[in-house]
Amino acid sequence: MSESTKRILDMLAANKVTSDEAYRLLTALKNAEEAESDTGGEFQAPKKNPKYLRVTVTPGEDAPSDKQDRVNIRIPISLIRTGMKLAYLIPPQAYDHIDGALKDKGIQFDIRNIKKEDLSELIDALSDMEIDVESGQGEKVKVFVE
Amino acid sequence: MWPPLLIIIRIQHDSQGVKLFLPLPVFLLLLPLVIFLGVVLIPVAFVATIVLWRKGWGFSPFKAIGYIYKLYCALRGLSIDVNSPRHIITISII
Repeated sequence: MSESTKRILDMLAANKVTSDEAYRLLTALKNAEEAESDTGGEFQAPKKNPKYLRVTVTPGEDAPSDKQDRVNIRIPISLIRTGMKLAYLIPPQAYDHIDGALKDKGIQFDIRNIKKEDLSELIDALSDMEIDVESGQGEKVKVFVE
Repeated sequence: MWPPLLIIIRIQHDSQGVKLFLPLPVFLLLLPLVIFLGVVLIPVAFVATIVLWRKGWGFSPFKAIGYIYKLYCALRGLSIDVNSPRHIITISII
């Protein structure tokens, strides 16, 4: 019997939860343990569907009053997806020219390798992105997805 | 996919200075303009399609109109808020 199961049963015995709540807790625990064993010991929370890219800048507590700038930007992820889809307007005949121009700059990349699924996966992977920067003056810059 | 309905622009310079608060009903102001531009651009898109067909850019004018509309609809939820001691600038698209 795991520690969490014992704790739930103790709560039931102490009437802190009803039998229905205890059953739901035990079921959730069992699903979590099964998910953990499927992923090789690392429990992964289900990925959220990202909706907004947020950029926030907050001043440090000790910043002088004339430098107390706050910035809060919220960009819909759908705007980023749609913007990237504009690349599909490029006809196939133009790909050779683009590849040639990239090779001239020393970039060995075939633009045909970019697929719709890759872009969707890239945007979905943004849900795990979090950038946190703190300057010497205490100013904090955060970039994250919610 | 719905286009934005309202754009709120707020600009304030100094606590007692210039204040501008402008809620713009996009559906009233821009929709007639969008319809007018659509009526004007569709024949242009036809001509562009015929001219560009041989170069392989044939369907691009029509696709571009569709993507631009999708981009316009995707603006819903965009919010920019800059707050400094002397200025407040807020732009929200709802």
